[in-house]
Amino acid sequence: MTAVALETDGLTVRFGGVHALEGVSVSVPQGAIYGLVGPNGSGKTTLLNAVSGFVPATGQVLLLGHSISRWAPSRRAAHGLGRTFQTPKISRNLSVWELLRIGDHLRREQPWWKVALTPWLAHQEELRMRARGAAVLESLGVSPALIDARVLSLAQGVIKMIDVARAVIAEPRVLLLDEPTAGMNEVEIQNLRARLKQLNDSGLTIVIVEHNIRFLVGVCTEVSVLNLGRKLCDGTPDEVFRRQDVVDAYLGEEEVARA
Amino acid sequence: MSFLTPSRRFAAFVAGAALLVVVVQLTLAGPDLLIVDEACVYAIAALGLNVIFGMTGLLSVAQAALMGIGGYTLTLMVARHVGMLPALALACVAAAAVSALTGVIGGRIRSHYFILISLALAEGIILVLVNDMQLTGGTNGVALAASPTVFGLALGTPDGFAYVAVPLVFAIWYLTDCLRASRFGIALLAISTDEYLAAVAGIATNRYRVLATVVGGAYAGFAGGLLTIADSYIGPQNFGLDTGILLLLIVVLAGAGSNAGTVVAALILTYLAHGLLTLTVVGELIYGLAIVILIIVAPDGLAGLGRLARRGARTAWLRLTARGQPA
Amino acid sequence: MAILIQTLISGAAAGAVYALIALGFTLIYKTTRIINLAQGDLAILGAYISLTFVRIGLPVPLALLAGIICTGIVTALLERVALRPLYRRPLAIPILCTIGIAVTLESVMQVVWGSLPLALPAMASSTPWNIGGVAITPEQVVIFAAAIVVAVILLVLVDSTRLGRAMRGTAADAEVVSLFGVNTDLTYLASFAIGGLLAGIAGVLIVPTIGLLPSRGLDLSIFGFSAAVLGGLGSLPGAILGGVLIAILVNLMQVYVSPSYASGVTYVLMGIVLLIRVRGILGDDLEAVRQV
Repeated sequence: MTAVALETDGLTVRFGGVHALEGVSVSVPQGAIYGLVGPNGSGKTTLLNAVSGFVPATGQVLLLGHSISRWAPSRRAAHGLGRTFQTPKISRNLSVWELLRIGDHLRREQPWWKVALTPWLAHQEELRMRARGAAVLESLGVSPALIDARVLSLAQGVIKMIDVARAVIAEPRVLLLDEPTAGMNEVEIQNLRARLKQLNDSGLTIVIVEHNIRFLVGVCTEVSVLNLGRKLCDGTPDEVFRRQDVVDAYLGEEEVARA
Repeated sequence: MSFLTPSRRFAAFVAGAALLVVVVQLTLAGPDLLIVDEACVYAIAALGLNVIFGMTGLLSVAQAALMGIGGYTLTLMVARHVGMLPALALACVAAAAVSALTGVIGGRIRSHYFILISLALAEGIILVLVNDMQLTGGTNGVALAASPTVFGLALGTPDGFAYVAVPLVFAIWYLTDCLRASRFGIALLAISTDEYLAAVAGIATNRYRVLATVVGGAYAGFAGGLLTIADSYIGPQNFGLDTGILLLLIVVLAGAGSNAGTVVAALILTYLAHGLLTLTVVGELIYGLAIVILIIVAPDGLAGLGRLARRGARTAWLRLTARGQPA
Repeated sequence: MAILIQTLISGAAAGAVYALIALGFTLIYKTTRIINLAQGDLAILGAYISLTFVRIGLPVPLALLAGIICTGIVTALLERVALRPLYRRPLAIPILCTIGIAVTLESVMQVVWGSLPLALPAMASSTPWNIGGVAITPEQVVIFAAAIVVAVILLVLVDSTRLGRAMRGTAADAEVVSLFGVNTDLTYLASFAIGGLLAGIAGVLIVPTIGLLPSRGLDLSIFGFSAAVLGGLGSLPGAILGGVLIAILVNLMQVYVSPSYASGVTYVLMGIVLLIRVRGILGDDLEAVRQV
């Protein structure tokens, strides 16, 4: 019996009169690459936001066996829950390096008095952090030479990968990816698939919310289908995408058939 | 990375401070020296506002009012026979505590609405300072009860004050740079970029916002105390919304949360406020227009200019050094 | 007892005007999420412009109307020129810009009309009727009635027209709303224009009572914000309720506690509301509440 990395139990989210999520129970085994699919409005991003702690929800969320349902989002992150964003919200003109340092915040020590009183030591630490940042970029197929570039000046697909780097550099136990392939071209999608498998091999449990079914079929070990806020079914991609009710729920029937 | 390694930076700061003290003492006198003194005070307060707004994204007009808290605390303590240095420390603590109040109240709302609390605080403080005759002497103000001497150095005179103020500005500037490069600074950068981003990076947004207001408030208290020492007097006129907005303008002119820009902008604007803009009405008009125009046209302010200049210098240097090379 | 009722009545008239300020401010906030710190100054500007029209010979009602319309136009122009370039930046930036606009407006008013108090003719007489020992002036009645009528019209407009529905939606998610064919740019412009009109109306109503001075703008702004926060950020009915409550509370403070600290009530109240119940009395808007 494999351990469960992430689990929700009867998760319900209601905005005013809208039932965004109704009693959704999902169980992600450790070491899995888990897909969450569903048509528009099915609640998959809401599920991710509820797990991250961004929206108030009733029901249970368990991370590595601990109940995190009452925890603030930053506390969940501190306990190993990593996450990327569908549209990375970068309102300041950050450099890639600054974004990576934000991602690395939890793990690094660089207190202000160390910087002030022993600047040479602080400098050594900064060089080490930069080297690690460059290494993470490279491990994800992003050129380390971009480390001082302004994030907003880069292509959309590259920005998404850098957001993944930002999440990965914190060495999370569970990584939530919100529509990672949106904005990527075919080459970048292949790269993402390969890198996710690499990360998974080294022990990271990954949960992906996606529209691109073909992408998920190639990389997920297990999938859950959501529709109108409820879970329709779960299972391996082969089992799930053959089911009639899944095909019916999905607007892109041809997509499912092709996959 | 840049030419200035941390050790060289530290040396540059010390050298810069020493050099400027000498230059100021030798070349300036009388009213010009007063302007430099005032610029130093505003630079320190503006650096504090840079921490609150430039680095954390909390829009505040209360920095001047917090200076007032610092100044009046100093005056009250000195009147009760507390030494000048402990009184100055208490001024920092008092201003930091009041500033923390805004951080705590603001804990429930998003960063960009912080302005409402800061406005309420600024006006509330002025209301008390102006009306409470017993504690603060109302609009008349209060004279400093003891002569402002620290370790035998008379700070009440313009040149005596400059000896201390200029190095202090450099020291606080250096400190703020270190804050920004530290883990604390990165947390603030995250919070000002996007609160969700900060959250998923494990940053406890509220704690850091309160800390930022504490740090910024302490700077304001220090600046207010220094101003009182320089004038040997304190009155509520210096700590209203006008000054609060001037401090904001300094940070906007500085651009992009830059500390160096803040110090330079403080010097420029203090000089302008005394020289060209002595007519208060036209001055206010220019402040207002300057804020609007700078935000729209030159959001990176002086820092952006500095970056362009450095890039230009580097290109020129490369061209010069490449000329001797074979093609 | 008579004093209490008197206080409540004069509070109601002033409160109706603060409600108009709060309404304009809340409408802009609801639509664009921007805190318009120049709202009060726009109101005073409206009064000054009306005064100029009176001076050049227009009959008072027309002059007031012209002033109000001009205020709406000025506000729309300001949105176009100064705020539209800033919508992609962090939200603190357009808000900071409105601070710059407020300062500019106040000094422009001082340069053009001087810093001595001027008088704008009122719409009704200020000789009080005496009803059961309590004095009510026709002017107070007119102010209250006019403000309530305008407020109701606005509420109906926002509830039932396409533009109104668009305004409710854009704050929530501009991207989603634009998918539905709503022109976000136009909606933002409209919200500012209407906000400006509301400010103008508030200005011409209240200025005969409080006097016409550039510095009055800030005072009005602060009353307006406190009213909006108390009533509930983002709630239009809340703005009205908040306006009346604030005015009554300030008046009570003035009469029973201390005249010089009376306006301090607004600051304390804002702090308390934001600390204890961010959404105020009637607000259900979650936008301002910190989610993380």
